[in-house]
Amino acid sequence: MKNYLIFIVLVVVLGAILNYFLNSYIQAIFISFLINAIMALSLNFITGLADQFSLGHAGLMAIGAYTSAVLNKEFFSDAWTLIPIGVFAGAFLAAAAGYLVSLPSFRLKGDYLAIVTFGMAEIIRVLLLNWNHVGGPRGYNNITKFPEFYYEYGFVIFLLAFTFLIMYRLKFSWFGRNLWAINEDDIAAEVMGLEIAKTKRRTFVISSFFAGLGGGIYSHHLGYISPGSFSFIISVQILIAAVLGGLGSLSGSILAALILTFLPEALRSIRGNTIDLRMIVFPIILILMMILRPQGLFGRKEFFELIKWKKIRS
Amino acid sequence: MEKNSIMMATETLLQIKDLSIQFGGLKAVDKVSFDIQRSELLGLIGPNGAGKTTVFNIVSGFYQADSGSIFFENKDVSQLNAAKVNHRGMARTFQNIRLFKSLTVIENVLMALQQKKHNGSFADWYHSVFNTKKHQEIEAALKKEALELLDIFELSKDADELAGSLSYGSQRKLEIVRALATKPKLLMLDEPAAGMNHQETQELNQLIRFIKDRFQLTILLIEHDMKLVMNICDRIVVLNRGRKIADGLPKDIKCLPEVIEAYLGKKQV
Repeated sequence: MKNYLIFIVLVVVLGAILNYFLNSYIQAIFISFLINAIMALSLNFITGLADQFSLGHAGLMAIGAYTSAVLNKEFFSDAWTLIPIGVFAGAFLAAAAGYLVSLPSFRLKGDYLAIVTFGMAEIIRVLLLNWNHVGGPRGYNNITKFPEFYYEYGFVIFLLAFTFLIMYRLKFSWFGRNLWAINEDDIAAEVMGLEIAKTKRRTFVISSFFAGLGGGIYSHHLGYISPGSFSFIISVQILIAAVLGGLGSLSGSILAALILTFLPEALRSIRGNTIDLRMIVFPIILILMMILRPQGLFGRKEFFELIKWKKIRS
Repeated sequence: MEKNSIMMATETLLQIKDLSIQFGGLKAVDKVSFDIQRSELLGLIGPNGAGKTTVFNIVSGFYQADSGSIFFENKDVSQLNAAKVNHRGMARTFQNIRLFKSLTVIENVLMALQQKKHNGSFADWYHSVFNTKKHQEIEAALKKEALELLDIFELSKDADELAGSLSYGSQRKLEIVRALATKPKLLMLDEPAAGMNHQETQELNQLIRFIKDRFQLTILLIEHDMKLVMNICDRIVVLNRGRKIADGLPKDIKCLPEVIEAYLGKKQV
C-alpha cells in the first residue's frame, strides 16, 4: 500500500513539473517514452520471458491504433472521454489477432513465430495501405486527442502501470516459473506435465493485448497514423528496446525505452557541418552497449533485485 | 486381505505390445512387448544402441511409434504427447541431466509441483494477477510441500542455490525429486548411475529402493551398471538391436547364453 502511495505522489509531482515548467516538446517526448515502454514491455513478455522471437509487434500495434482511432472517430463522435474505451477495444482486437497467429506458429519448435509474425505485420500493413476508408497510404488524420496534457499524461501513466503490474505479477508467479522452465529446457518442462504450445500461445496473446494497448494510445497521442507508422523498422525498434533493457527484465525495458526515446533527441544538438552526426553517434552507443553488456542493461533481473544483490555483495 | 494383496501384486500397470519404430532404414525398436506389474521394479538393459532409450522416448510421448500399442492402467496412451503422458501418472528422468539450471533448487521442484495446482483457469489468472490471499496460500502450501520433499532427499539446505551449481550426484537426485513432485505412479529412470563412481552408485541403489517404498512406486529402470541392475531389479527385460531377447528374474537372465553373448560378450574359456 505504501509503495502505491509513493508511486502516486511521484507521478503527480512529475506531472506537475512537466505541466508547469517544461514545454510541450518535452511533454510530447515524455508521452512517447511511456508508449515505447509499453511496447517494449509487450515484446519483452514474449521474447524475454518465453524466448519466442516476434518481429511483428508493429502489426499488432497497428491493429490497436487503427481500431481505437476509427472507433473514436466514427462511433464516439470524437469524444475524448471515450478514448480509453477505444484503446482497450483495440487491445482486445490485437489479442484476438495474436491468438489467430499463435494457432499455427507454436505447433512447430524453433523460431517460426518470428517468420509468422513478420508476415502478419506485412499483411496488416498492406491491407491498411489498400483500405481507402481509413485513408490508405495517405493515413488517417485528425484523430481525437486529449484536450490537456495532464489528462493524457494521467491516462498513459495508468496504462504503463497497468501493463507493468500485470506482467510483473505474472513473471513472479506460477506462470513466470513455467516460462522460465520452458526457456531453460523445454523438453524437461514438457515431461513435468506442462503443455508448452498452450503456454506459449497464452503468452503471445497477452503480449499482443499490450501491443494493441500501446498502439491505441499512440494514435491518440499523435493524432495521425498511416501504414508507414507501423513498418518493419518499428518492430525492430521495439526489439532494440527490449534487448537493450535485458530480455526478461521488465524494469529494464522501461529504462531502455527512456534511453532510446530521449537519447536521439538529446543528440540532436550534436551537428557536423553538413551531416547529422546523431545518426552516427546513436548506433555507436548501441554497438558499445552490445559489446560491453550483451545481456542488456539489467539482464534478466529487475531493478530492485539488482540493488539487493549489490547490498549482499558489499 | 491376503487375496487382495496378491491381486494388487499381479495387476498390470503398463503394457507394451509389439512396439516398433523405424528411423530411416534403421529399425530402432522392433516388435518389443513387455509389461510392468504394479509396484514392480523392472530393469531394461541391453548393449549400446539396443533401443532402450528409444523405448523410453516412445512411452514418455516424445516419439510416435510406427506400430504397436501402449496401455497404462488399461488405457491407450500411445497417441499422447509428453505432457499428457505425465498427467496420466508417468514421470521420467533423463540420461543427460535436464534440470532448469538457472532456476533455484526449490523452483525446480515448485515448477513440477505447481502443474497440478495451477491449471490456468480464469480464477487462477485472477488470483495470481491480483496476488489475492488465496494465491498466497496456494504458493505457501506449494513451497512447504517442496521443502518437505527436498528434506526427504537432504537437499533442503540447498533450496535457494541455483540447480546448476549443485554437485553431479545432487543434480541427479534433484532430477528424481522433480519427477516425484509430479506425483507419478510409474517412475522411469534413464541410466541414473551414468557418470557415478562406485560409492555414489551404492547410494543410488539405496535411494531407489527407498523411494520405491516411500512413494509406493512402480519403477522402470534403464541401466548400464550390471551390479546395480542385478541387485535391485525384480525382473529384467533385455533388448538387443531393437528386439527383446530375454525377460525374467535377474538370476535367470544372468545365465542365459544369448544375453551373455549380446550383453556381456562371449563366454571366456
